[in-house]
Amino acid sequence: MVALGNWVRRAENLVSFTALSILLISVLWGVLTRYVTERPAVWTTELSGILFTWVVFIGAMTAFRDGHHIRVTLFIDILPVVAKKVLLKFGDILILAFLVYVSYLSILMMQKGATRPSPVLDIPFSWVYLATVICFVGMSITASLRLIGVLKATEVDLKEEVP
Amino acid sequence: MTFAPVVILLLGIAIGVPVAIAIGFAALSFFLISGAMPPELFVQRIVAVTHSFPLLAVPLFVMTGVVMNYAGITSRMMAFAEAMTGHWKGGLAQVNVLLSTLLGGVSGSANADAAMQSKVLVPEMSRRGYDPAFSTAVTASSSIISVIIPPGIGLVLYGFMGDVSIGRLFLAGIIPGIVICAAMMVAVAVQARRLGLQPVYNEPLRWRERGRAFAGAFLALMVPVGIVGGIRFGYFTPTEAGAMAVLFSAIVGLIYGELKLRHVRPILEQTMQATAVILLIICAASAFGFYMTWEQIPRMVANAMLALTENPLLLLLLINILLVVAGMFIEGSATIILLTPILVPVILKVGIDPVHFGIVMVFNLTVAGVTPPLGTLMFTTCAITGVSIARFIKASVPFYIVLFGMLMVLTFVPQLSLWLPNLQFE
Repeated sequence: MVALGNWVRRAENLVSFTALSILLISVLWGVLTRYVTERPAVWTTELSGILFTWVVFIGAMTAFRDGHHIRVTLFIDILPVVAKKVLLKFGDILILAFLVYVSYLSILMMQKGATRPSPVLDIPFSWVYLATVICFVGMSITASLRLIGVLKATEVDLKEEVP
Repeated sequence: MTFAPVVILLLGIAIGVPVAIAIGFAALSFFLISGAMPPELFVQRIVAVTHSFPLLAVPLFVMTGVVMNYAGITSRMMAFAEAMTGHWKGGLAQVNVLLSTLLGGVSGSANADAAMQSKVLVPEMSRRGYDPAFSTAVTASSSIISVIIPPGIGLVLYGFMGDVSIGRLFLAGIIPGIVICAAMMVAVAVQARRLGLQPVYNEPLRWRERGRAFAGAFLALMVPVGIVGGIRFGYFTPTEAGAMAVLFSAIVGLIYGELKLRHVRPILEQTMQATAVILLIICAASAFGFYMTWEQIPRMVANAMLALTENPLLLLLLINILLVVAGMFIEGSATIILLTPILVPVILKVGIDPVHFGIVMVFNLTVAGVTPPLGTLMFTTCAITGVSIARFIKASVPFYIVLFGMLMVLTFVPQLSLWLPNLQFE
């Protein structure tokens, strides 16, 4: 289980770090070609947009597993322990339902996008929506593991992770 | 049924659902309840945001700050700040304030700034006999300055959500940032006298030594100048400026010989952590914004507020109170994302400049970060320095007074924010 978890994290990091690096290079390339060559590269904006989707959604998936997403626990903290537990459980069930449904919607969008290529690079939009499919399916898995107690429940943590 | 998604959003946040998911949930409920369009468009809405070029500035400016830390630029800036103010009473506290202002020009995030200074400066201050609660309070309060000094992520988010020029917002932040820095330094000086804090040096450094410290920090100090100048003269967009800043700080790090290949991984990791969370909220908020536009909620809010008063000054005061209350419960950047599209139409109607309002709004919501009950800056710094929240709040009272005073000054003296952008852009 732990080995699998590590493997998943490594894959996520590989994808998101690569996307972030290429994104940076492609924005820089856009600036450089504008001033250095006669014909500025038009594809850089498009490519950085597509990569940005991957950075955001794969990063969000990692952050969800680590419990880094911002939440407000002010109100439930003042409740009695039992009520708090019930509400948190209820919230977790809602989250799971939402994530599963959005995964399904993402798959729909991915199918639709297959026939729609991007204007310059000719990359089908299904590649864009693949990031959301991976993200929401991954988050659904995390949420269900948490619900059945395999993964530790999210610690109630108000602090943002900072470098 | 019009307001069902708003109710769902508030309930979701109240029961501790992560803010991004609560917003997404509420937005999706609109797509399902209204039945006006296929629900998979919800996914299209949240993805569309990531294809906006201006928002790319967020990860790039975050990355600049991280690279600066590894490149040894931050420590050189600290040496420079110490050379300038070290001989004053409470010298290290003054270094703390000045460093926040200098760093504001390179890192866009108050949280990163506060965390770094809590780790580096506060232990040093404790060693020299400063009360840790005081040191932590200074660190948290002064890190607010870095949000207003360009480039700032809050300003990028406001400009993006409210369709306001990010270049103008960046210029507008410079003078308020310097004024707030000066006000904080006065407050620190008063407190230092009262508490009898020691200077770092017994006498001022000679100008030759200061010059050496300045030379060390010079390249780093050029970054904000390059960013603002480059945008102003149309060499590049804010996003491209972010990428150039990363490149520039990496080159400086290589020149200093401190940036190593093994730093690439932690740099990417820290950038990802800081940006993915904010951006998922923006994505969800964009779908939620679609609902608000569809139901014309910004117009309803505008009319309701304008029915109360059409006096711009009173309206600004009202909005400030609203933001202070909102900032108590929801984290700052999330609040900017949610409320900017609602509030900008209101202030436009009574003739308030959206650039001025942006500075006020972003500053207001960042100040909320050091005040209870939900202050992310307060939690970040206290968690690192180990000071209890109660002692932190007690030590922060003088700074609360300064910060809220400055909020009023920024609100009612628009010239502070507008003088520079108007001078440059006309």
